Amino acid sequence: MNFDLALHPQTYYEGEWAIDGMSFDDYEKNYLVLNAKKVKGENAYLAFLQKRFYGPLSEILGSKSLVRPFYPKLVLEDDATTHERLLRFSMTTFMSQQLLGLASPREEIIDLIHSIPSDASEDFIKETIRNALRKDRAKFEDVRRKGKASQYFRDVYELYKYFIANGNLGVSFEEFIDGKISSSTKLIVGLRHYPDFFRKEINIQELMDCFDFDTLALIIACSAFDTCKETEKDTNTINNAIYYIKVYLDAVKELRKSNPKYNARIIGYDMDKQRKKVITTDDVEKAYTSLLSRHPEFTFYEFDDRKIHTILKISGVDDERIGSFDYRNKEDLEFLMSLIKKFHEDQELKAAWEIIPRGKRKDDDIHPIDGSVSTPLDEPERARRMLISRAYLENSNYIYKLLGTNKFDGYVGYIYPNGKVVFEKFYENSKTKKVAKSSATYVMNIFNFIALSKLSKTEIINIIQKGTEEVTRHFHYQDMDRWIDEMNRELIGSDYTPDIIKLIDQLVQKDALSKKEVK
Amino acid sequence: MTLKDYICDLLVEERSLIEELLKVDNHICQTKLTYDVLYAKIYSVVDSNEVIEHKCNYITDGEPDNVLLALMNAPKIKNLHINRTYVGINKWLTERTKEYFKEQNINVNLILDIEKGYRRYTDDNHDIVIIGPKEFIYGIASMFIEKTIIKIER
Repeated sequence: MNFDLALHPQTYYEGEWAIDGMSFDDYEKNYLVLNAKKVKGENAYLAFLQKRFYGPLSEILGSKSLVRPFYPKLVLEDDATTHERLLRFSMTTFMSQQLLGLASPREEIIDLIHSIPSDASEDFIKETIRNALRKDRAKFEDVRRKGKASQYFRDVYELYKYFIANGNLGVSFEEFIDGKISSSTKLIVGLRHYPDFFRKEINIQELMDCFDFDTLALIIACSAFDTCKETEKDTNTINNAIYYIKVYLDAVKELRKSNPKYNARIIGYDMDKQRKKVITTDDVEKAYTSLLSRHPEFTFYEFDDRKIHTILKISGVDDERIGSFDYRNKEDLEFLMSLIKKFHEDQELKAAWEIIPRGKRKDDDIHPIDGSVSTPLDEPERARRMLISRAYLENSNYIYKLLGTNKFDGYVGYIYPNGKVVFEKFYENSKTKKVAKSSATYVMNIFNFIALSKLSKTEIINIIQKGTEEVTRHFHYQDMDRWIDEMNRELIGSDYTPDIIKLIDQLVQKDALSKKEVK
Repeated sequence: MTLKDYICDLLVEERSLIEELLKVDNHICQTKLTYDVLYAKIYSVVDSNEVIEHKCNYITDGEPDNVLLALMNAPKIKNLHINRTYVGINKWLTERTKEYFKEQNINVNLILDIEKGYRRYTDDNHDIVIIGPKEFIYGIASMFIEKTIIKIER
């Protein structure tokens, strides 16, 4: 597992990714606090926070007690200049937390927080908070001046009652008001210093020292997944934090080649059941597969320079512009994405393929390429396999993509330069998000695929049996690397010609002369 | 000496030939099977306790370890289908297996089937042994629903 891939993505990624889960403000539910090492009986992450967050902020604000109620949110965020992901404490979250201590009724504060747009600039947020703090200080000052006659007395007194209920019995109402005015002033002054403090990059090594490496890698994956889940709930889209989960699971896949039982585990928190729970790598993998399978519109595309160069070139972009292209630049990337989208749309021949199966058949016999695994697989496993095959085919060098209509709704055909057509079904149909039950991929020849795709499954299998080499079937294996090997062979490999077989025979026979004696 | 030990010894003795065959197979199959991985695969094959006493046709996915598992019963094999995969290595395995049994005066007449299709099994009355991953087994078995199938899942 290499954090470099997560910290230095090759393209631009906007926004901040929390790496301590959604419950950064409750240490009983915070992934990082729950899973840190214990050093001399002390939680290493809390010690890290004391050193890097609470300590320096106490100095900025000139008060330890003022900092205590705040919770840092650790994020990976985009650096405005280099566009690298940097580990920082979130300034916007910290500033927003200051609003929660205001004397205004809860609803007003929530409205105020919601009034800050998600893409608001730092200056805008700072200004909003400064105004809110000043307004709040004025309320306390008004109560100090007018006492019960102040229109804010009730709100301020409510806050005082809450304050003494939290272990501050010896503090008088007047002392409380003085303290609040002083705190607000300190927080307003502090606003000037926050950018310097929060923009400072945190040394990742220092954070890593608080955890076992596998634990931290899984914590970040869980946090990224929580972010994705929130985004899905809010906007029904995929958050780009999914990039980290992909990097993580790719690394796990490599690791499992030498250690098949690898499965890291951390303590998490079940929000529904309100209790701690164990989360494993397997859990993240299942959740990731399920999330992606709910979003057929989302696919990972992997592009090398040559492919991008080709897309830019055929889209009429001049050489000078191509030469200066920067994938980490937001505008460049958005422009490129629009070209890629068009490039893929141009390859789709939705209207061109409309095949009506001949004769009368039963519904379940219409589709020619249903799988034939007798033991039905559960949906998550089918989804996992489907996502791998889809990512492979979508990233392959096909010339055209055919989308089936009518009875063939849900089928996709990829046409390749070597004249092969790969026939695959990802979803039951284009409308539902139900993963298809088929468990095999069929490879046909461009010259006969229209005719072959009219046949029933039984007829196709008969052709495979006869071995006329017009169609081959490739199963979705539990180990999908095997399927990928078979596809590579179909799409870029060659075949054993009679000459090659003759050569093999000669090699094998020649060495047989010095055969070993059986003891 | 078991067949597996015999083959493992020969893998070491004939390493340069094996690497030559791997080069050809990897080029055609677009795979990256190395000598070391091949050796480990072969070494990991455990002789099956279930002895199939009657002559059968064997259909494998072509992975050398699965082919070797079939070859352990070589005298009882009529046709051995290797899915047109790793033809070089599988031919070598088959030839050396024949020599192993010949040394013990056991005749092996199996035909190594390197075709893509399965035509020769359709009209043949022998039972079929299928060796490979579950998906492969069920996929192939579905083509021969009228026949007796022996499944060896690996």
